[in-house]
Amino acid sequence: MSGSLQQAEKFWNKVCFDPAFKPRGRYRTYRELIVEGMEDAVRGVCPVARSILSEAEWHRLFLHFLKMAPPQSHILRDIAYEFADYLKSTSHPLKSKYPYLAELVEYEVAEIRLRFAPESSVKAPRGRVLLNPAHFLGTYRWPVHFIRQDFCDPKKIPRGDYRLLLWRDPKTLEVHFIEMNPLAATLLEVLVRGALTPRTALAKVARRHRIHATPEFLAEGSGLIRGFVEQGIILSPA
Amino acid sequence: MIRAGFVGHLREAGHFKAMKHPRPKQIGIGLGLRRENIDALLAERPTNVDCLEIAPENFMGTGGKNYRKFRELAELYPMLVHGLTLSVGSLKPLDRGFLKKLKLFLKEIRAPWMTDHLCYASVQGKQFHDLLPLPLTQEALRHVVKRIRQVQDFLELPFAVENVSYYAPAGAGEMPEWEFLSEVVERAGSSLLFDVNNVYVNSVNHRFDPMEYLRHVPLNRVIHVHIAGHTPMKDFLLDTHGAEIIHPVWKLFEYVAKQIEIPGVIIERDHNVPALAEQVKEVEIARRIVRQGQALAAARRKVSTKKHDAKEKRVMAQ
Repeated sequence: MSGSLQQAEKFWNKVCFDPAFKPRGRYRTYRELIVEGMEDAVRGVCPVARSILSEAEWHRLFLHFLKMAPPQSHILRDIAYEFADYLKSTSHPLKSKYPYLAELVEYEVAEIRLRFAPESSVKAPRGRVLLNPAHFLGTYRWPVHFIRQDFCDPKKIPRGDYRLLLWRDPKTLEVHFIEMNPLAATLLEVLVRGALTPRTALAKVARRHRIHATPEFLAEGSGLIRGFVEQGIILSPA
Repeated sequence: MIRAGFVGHLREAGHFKAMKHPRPKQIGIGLGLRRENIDALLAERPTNVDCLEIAPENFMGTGGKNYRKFRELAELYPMLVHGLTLSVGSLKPLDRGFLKKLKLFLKEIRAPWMTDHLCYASVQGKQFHDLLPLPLTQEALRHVVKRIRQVQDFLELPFAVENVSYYAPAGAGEMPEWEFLSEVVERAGSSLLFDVNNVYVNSVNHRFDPMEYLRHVPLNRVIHVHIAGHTPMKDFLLDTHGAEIIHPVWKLFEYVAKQIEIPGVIIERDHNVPALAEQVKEVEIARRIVRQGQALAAARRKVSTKKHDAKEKRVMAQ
C-alpha cells in the first residue's frame, strides 16, 4: 500500500468491505475486529433471526450485506435497520432457504426502533383520539411473532395475513406487540392519518369494511378504543 | 520528512497559530457512561466522580429508557462528549447534516467541548464503526488540518482530537506519530485529547519509547485525557478498554499530570466492566496522581517566584 490518502482509503475499504480480499497479519485482525463489531450490533437487534441461521450462514450473509449495502449511518444501531432494508431487496440464496427472513428481521428491528424512538410531545386534541406516534404496523405473510429456533421450518409454518402492531407505552417506555384482527387494524390505519373523534373513526372503519355502523358496532368499537387508550396504543385528551 | 525536534523549536519561537478557544475550565475526573454502569451511577450517584463521558452517536435524536436515564445523569454530572464517527481523515466532505444535529445536541447538554479521533471512521462514505489509522504523511496532515478547522468553526466549541491506537500502519509514513499529532493540533489550532493508554499500546506495537512521544507532543494543548486498560495478544497489544489500567500507563499519566493542569480526565472501560466501586477506585488513583502533580507544579511555581524575587532585589540594589 502506498501512503497516499486515496490509496489508504482504497486499501481500508477492501479490508472492511470486500470479502474477496484476504488481508494478512494485523490487517486481518482489523478485518475480524471490524466485521465482528458490526455483526454484534445486528446480532443484538435480531437475536431470533441470528439463532435460526447457522454461524457460517449468518456470517456469509453479513459479508454479502457489507459488500452490497455498506452502512451509511453514523449510528451503530442503524446497521440493523440497514441490514433489514438490504434483506428486503437482496436475492441472496439464503432467502430461499429461509423465506420469512426479511419479514422476521423487519419485525425484530421494529421493536428496537421503537425502543429508541425520540419521545413525542404530541397530544390528542379535545374530543378526538390519536394513534401513539411510537408505533409500528406491519403486515406479514409469515407469523414472525411465533417464529423461533424450534419453529422455523418454512414447510411447517402456516402462511397467512398477519397484522401486527408494536407500540411503546408512553408511561413505562416498554415495547409491546399485539396481533390485530382486520377491524382493529383498520381502526389504527384510519387513525394513522390524524386525530379523529371516536365516532368518525369507527364510521370510517365501517365504510371500509362495507358494514353498517349500527349502535352495537359503535358500542363495541368504543370499547375497543377505550381498551387501546388504557394500553397506550391510542392517545386521548387527559 | 520533517526532522525530529522541528515542532518543539517552532513552538518555542511562538510561530504557531494560537488555540481558537480559551483553555476550558477544570471539569474533573470521571468515567465513561456505559450501558453496564448507567443504573449503578443513577442509584449510587458517587460524589467522587466529577463528570461522565458519552458518545453522542448513542444519544443524539433518540428517546426511551436509556435516554431518560442519560438526561437524569446530565442534570447531576457535567457530560464530556467523545464522538466516534466524524472521521477527520476521510476524503469525502464532512457530513453537514450530522454536524448540525451534533451541534444542537452539544448545546442541549451544555457540553464544554467536543472531541473525536484523529483517524478514519468511514471510507468512501461507508461507515465501519471502528477506527483506522491515517497515513503519517504531509498530504494527510494538510487534509486533516483543513477538516479539523471546518469542524471547530462549525461547532463553535473547543474541539480536541485524540491520538488513536493502531496495530498496522496505513502505508509508509513520512514522520513519527508524535510529530504528525503535534503538527495537526498546532496547525489546526485545536485542542488535544491525549490517550495515554494509546501511547503505551502503540509504543509496544510499533517499538518506540513512550516517553520520547510524551516529551514531544504539545501538552499545553491537552484539555482531556483518557486512561484505560488493554489486552495482550500473541504478538501485540489490543486496545480493548477491557482490563485494569497497568502501572506503566499510570506512569505516563503521572508525567502528563506533572506538566499541566488537565481540564478533564476519563477512565475508559468498555469490556469486562466491573462493579461501579471498582471503576471509582481508578478514578481515585487518577485523582491522587493529579493532586501530586499539582502540588509539584505549585512547588515549582514557588521556587521560580522566589528566584524571580531574588533577581528583582538584586536589580533594585544595583
